[in-house]
Amino acid sequence: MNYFELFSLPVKYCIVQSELSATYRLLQKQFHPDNFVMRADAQKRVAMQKSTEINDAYQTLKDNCLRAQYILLLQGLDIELDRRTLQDSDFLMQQMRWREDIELFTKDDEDAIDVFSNNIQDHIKALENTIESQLQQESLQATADSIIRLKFMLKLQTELSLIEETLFD
Amino acid sequence: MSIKLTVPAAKHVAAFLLHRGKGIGLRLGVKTSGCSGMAYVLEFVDVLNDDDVMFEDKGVNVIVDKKSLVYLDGTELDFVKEGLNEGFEFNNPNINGECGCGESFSV
Amino acid sequence: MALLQIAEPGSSKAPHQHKLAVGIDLGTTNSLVASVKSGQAIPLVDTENNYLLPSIVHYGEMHISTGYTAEKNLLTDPLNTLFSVKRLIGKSFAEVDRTFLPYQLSAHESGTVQIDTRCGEINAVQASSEILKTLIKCAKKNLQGDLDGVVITVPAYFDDAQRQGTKDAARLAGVHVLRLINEPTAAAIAYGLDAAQEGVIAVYDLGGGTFDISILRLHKGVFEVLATGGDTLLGGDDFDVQIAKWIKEKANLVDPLSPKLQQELLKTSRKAKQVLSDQPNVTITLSQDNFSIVLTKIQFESLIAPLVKKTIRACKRAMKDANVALAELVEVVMVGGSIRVPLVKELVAAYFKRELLTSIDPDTVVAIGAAIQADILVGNKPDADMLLLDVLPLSLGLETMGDLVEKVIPRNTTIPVARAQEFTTFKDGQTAMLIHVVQGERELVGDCRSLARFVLTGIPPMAVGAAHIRVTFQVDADGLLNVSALEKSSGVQAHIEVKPSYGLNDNQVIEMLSASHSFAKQDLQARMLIEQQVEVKRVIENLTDALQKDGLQLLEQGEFDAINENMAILEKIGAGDDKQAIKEALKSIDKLTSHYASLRMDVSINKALTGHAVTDI
Repeated sequence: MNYFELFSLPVKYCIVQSELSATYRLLQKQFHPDNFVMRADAQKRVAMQKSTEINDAYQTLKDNCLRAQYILLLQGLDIELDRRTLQDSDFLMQQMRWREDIELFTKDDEDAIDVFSNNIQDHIKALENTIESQLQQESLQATADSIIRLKFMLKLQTELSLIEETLFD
Repeated sequence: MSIKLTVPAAKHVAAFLLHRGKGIGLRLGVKTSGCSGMAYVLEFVDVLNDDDVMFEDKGVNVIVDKKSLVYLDGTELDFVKEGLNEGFEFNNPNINGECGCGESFSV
Repeated sequence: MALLQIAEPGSSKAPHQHKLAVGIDLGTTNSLVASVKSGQAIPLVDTENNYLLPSIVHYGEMHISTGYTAEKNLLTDPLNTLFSVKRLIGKSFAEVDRTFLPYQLSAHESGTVQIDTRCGEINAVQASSEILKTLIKCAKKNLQGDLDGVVITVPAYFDDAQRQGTKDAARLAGVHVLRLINEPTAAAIAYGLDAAQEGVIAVYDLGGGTFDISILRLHKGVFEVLATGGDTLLGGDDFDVQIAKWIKEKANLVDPLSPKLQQELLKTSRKAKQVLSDQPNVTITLSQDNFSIVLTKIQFESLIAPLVKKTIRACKRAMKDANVALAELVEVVMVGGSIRVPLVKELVAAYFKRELLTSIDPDTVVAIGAAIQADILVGNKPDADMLLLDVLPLSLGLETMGDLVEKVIPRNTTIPVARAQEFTTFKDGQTAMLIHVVQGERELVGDCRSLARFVLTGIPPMAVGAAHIRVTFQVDADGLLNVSALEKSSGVQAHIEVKPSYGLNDNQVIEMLSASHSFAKQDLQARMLIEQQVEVKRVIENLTDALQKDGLQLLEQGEFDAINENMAILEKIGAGDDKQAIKEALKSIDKLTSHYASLRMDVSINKALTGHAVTDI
């Protein structure tokens, strides 16, 4: 049973978050290990595995990047295994510049950090839109490249928030 | 036919119902099973069944199904404290035998 | 005669079938036990009408005492009167801060910290089990029967070793743990059900020795923890220590202080703290040299401000992890005895920019929530529409080259959760491998907490890099880690030997069990047999029921017959007293039916989702 089947959903990038979480709660209400505390060990174990799988599926499906990556996986393209590298030197150069930028931020740059953070957020949104249309056109290789770009951006976003944490806490 | 509640029993039932936030009353009943034949039922009631009879005593609705009523007529429900333990007790004039722990009885 | 309690509609149990379950708050300073009676969760009192049991254990000449009885010995017998042992659970000797710990500590050969008493070396698990035993005795007296299970609360920020230690303590005390639940989550249950609250809430829990902050979303009976944070070594005890240090300096006391003086300082400091929660100053006196000094509230607040600010930083991080804005919160629930300190309330209110909910009893709410959960888990409330979704508080990682940590499961992931990681051999014919699991957020192994070292053995000899060992880290609903490994190309199950870094290993627990005064060895054997027989009964009941419902629809006739046959064998063996044979029979039926169990799960998933419009869930 793949994650989409588990949640009775068609294999599609487009997803309604509120419906996804409603299905998630319905499934966990039934399969969470708490419902099997007084049962035999075999049932406890199967329930734990099922509940784990439901959690895993939910984490994957609700996250735009992971969901796109999972759709590719179902089509036979495993990005992790592929270890593909991005042949886009402009993008990579831009990444390096951004990284240098965030390392130079100081306590006084609160406004600049906000602008920077919004800029990254816009890039992420744009990439997500690209991924959606690429998946619709079933151009798998192009989608894979976009996913890798998106991963770069998300990592940059995490790093920025770590730096914010150290500067302002 | 009648079923009574003692004052402490009525007070506690009312408090428990209030705390629970829903329910129309308290069900008293008997069912078969246990070491000497029958066992008491003590439950909250959310909906009435067809064969239910409802009494009122000291402000509490007492609900009994017709089959159980035969065994419970004249019963007084009490709330007692025994050491650290507290809870409800059936004083039932119809019974002639109880198992050691009082959870089941015969008539 | 047994007294009756009111049950939920339609759920009256046959006589002797009503399950007795309790919730236990095993606190640093105080512990208590609660249970659901006639639909209402209440703390259970002892013969003196107290519900709080001071978490103190006295190892006396004649016997072990706990609670108020033990407390009387704090000053007279400081070396044998153990308090705040929760701070030592799952800790190594090297990690423990010994400031103002009047008793003698030493290290077990495993590194675990232990206390030298007149009854020998006692570890935190053993001392905690004494507290549990007292609470359980009280519960049994109150409920007039043996307990079917308990829910024990732990700080949300407890790591794996601390959780395991708590579970071991329950095992030593001879009770069945239904579930470990997090203290703030328990508080949220008690509060959320009572207030019928919906929306996102924060639970700020500052106890005697630990601090937790949890952000939860409450939605139609689902309690979903979005993020949690905290500090397992920060609580009211630390406020006392700050005052004690201050007095020590002012009174010119020089080290080493006698155990009695240390204890007196702590006791005086605690009293002073309590007075300062509603007085502007307090006069502190010591028996030694007739020393006397005034501590003002302002001075006290400057002593503890750094500690309180630390909790605010944890709140900020949790809010960020939860991805929730301050304005989204519908309530900030304050729990734990130490929220009585005015500065705490002040700074927390200032951070959250709102009035705090301080009206619930901060001492009992955790045990009440645990009791509600225990009642549901044990099956007394079949139509309870409640679900707890908790998270892993600290990231789990593996040691990689260069003492770096590779995160396997990030913090705040909903549990149960599993992640697999692949390893390969770096030598021809290598048959064993060492894996080091750590817990924490830092990048260097040395800055995280070492959980366990696993030795994988039984890897089939292959050329370098040809073996692919898939190691699965499974965190269960108690937040406890289990590890399994499989060599992929050959399908060989590699054997794992777990060596917990600071906790107790299985042998130690069994040793303590048999050494424990309350169980003679025979009792232990008898209990193990009974536990197995209960399991046999459970398996047969569950299976008969399942087979009747859908056995022939889901299984081939051959499989169906094989299961029936094995069940008959199990029943026969289960009636005897050969523990080893029962164990084998259970194992074999487990193996035989696990495919069937999975099939049933899949069928019920399909069933669960058909006929529901997702919008009305």
